[in-house]
Amino acid sequence: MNEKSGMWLGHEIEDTLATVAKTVPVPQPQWGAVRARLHTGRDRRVRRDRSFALAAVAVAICLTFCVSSFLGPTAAAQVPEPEVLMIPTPSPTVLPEAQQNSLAPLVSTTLECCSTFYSTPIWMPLPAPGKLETRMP
Amino acid sequence: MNHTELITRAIDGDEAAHRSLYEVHYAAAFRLAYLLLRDTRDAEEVVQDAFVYAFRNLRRYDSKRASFWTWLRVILVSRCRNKRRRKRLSIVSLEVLEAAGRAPAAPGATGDPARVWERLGKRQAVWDALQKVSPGARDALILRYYEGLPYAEIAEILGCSEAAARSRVAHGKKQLRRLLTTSEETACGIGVALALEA
Repeated sequence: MNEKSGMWLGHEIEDTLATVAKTVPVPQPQWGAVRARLHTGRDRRVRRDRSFALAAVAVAICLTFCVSSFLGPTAAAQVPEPEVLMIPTPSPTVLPEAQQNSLAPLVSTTLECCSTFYSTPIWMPLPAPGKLETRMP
Repeated sequence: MNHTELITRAIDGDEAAHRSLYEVHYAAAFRLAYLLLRDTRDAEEVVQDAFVYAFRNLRRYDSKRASFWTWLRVILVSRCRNKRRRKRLSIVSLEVLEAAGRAPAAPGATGDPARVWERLGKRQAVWDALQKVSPGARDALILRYYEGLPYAEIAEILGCSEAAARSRVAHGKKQLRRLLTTSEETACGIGVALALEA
């Protein structure tokens, strides 16, 4: 009996659902609404992708600036400043007319001057290590 | 153009193919959604949602595994369940309907089970009782008795085991039987029917 009533109930459910489904008025399919939603979604996706790309570019630019402004002073601190060598420019000397004619003695005097500068011979022997002065702390 | 070709074209983004698929399956989808939600506006909204989702994710659909309708039905049932969770549907109680139906009845008619059954409408009574069955069991009953699905497919759609699907259907029928027999007026009809069946 239980099986029979179960079957009966099954048929009743089947009939009822079929009747309800058949009698319910089906509205007209609105393709326009679905299409609009599909397009909206697509546009939104495109817009999102574009904004992501723009944001990535902006972040890259910001990072470049930040890194350079951060690393700039550090690098500058690490690299020793080059010494500026002042090379004197030779001043043009105008020799008097009398001297212009007698350049030879002038040169010779210069050489004399140089010879007097090297008064100590460069081959002078160095003092022995034992004789060197040692400073104790 | 056959259905497979239609789907291939739809996957490639052909709008006309999308439209054809929509028009072919719309009525069936709407009817199923209506049975699950019992509200035309909600059913319409959910069907639209399901189609939009299906068209956006058409590349995931594998025609070798199942038909387009089977795939769409999984999406649709899932959407209906989500909708129901979000919105507590106002269910007209069977008692209210019974009270409404009892009012114009002639005093002598109440004692005649056949007349009561006829007046209420056997199907209306079953439909009303179905509204009182728990949602999980009702979904299983609709998929089993309206869509005529095997338990394995019901299990796949509802995201449970085959045994659980079978149990839900059995539980739903049990609830339905109890609901139909406890109601004073329907009890007469069901009682007669069950007695006749026995």
